[in-house]
Amino acid sequence: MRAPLLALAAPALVLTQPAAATVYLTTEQAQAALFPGQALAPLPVTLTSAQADAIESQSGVDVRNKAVQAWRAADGGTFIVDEVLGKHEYITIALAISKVGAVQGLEILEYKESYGHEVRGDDWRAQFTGKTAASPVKLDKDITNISGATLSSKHVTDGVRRLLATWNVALKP
Amino acid sequence: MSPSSPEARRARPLLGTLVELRVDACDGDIEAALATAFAAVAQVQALMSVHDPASELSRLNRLGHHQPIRLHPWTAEVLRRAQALHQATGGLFDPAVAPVLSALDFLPVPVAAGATGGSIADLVVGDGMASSGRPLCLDLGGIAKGFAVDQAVAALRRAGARAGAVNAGGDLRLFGDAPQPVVVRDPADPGRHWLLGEFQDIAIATSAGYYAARPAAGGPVMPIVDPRNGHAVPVGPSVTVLAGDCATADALTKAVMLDGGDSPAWLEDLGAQAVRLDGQAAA
Repeated sequence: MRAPLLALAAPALVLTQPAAATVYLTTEQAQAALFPGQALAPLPVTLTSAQADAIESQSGVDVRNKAVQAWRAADGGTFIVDEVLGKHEYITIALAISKVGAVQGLEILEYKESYGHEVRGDDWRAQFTGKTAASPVKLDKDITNISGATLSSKHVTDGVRRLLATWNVALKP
Repeated sequence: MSPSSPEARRARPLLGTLVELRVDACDGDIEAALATAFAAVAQVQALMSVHDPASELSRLNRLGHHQPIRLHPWTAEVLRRAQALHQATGGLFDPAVAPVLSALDFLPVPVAAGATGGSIADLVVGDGMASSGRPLCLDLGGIAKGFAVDQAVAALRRAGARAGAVNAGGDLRLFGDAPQPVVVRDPADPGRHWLLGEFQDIAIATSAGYYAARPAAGGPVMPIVDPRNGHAVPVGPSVTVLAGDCATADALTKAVMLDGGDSPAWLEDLGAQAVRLDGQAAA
């Protein structure tokens, strides 16, 4: 096959917004997707130090925030919103756990990347001014198609393990 | 564009990375379309993950030199395409380098005695079956991610999606009538992006060291192994390949990286193009 693929642009350097975030779902949308047709009641929990220790020992993952954002569904299921932090990424996840403690669903609510550019200041940014102007696309909006080597999902899977331990220690119905 | 469902964007952790689906226009139920596409990706993972001892690939790695292993049509297809790309690239793309990846701690998999030094050409892939005359340890990570992206796009289209994109940790495929901008991370500073251009109906995959480097004796290396000498590639430039499908693009990033030139002859034969970024030192 010989596909007439494309006209490659001369690569131009562009910058994403320093604090650009992709929002996939709001908390309410995730609740409706993971517990369709069910009323969810807020179940605010603040972990004690002993609970945090138990969660860390059960999951092998550090507990950074003792305030747990949880809701209880009519069927006894639990809905938790939580943040996980990687080296450069900040991800908000929503986890649905069944009455007996099985993962029912996981959705990513928001994804944010940071490489410390925001602290470099205007001088650093100024050197690229003009390079983006010639490009044929608007770059002030969210960049949606980024090709780049794999960003690991390890922090998300660690977060799920920590939340299952949190359910076990502090949220079991 | 005619009125249709609103755009939807979802991401889930699959294939060891974040898989993002975006639907810009859909004639059917957009939630059902997203669900069937995520299910296709999850199935590729269940069949072909080297990290999962229960996958067909792990079974083939354990037992393929003792007996023929029955395979799902998708697994057989990926193995056949891996063999074709191995041949087309003069052996540069070879999923049989898994023993070296394991030794470098890139892959936490047990390697059967005698599997080192094998090649995917040693595998005999029949109709829904495969076997090998010698121990082999295959890692399809360099092609199955792209194949999963292709299957997700096919599933979205079958469910009525007319335009959108699937991106598995930077290996992406675009579909639909409208051109979409694509950027590539700067290998020296992955928070900066280079605009590649605007494209439609294309697959674009990139290999680089920014998220995947491991320390080694001579400096950090990437999980890309040269089958000619068994050495991992030092971290340096990124290679982006544009092709008609994502399995091809995914596999060829490794081969172009190893070839060292910018346009090996086989690249054009495969209907693909490559872009190498050296990376700019950050100011």
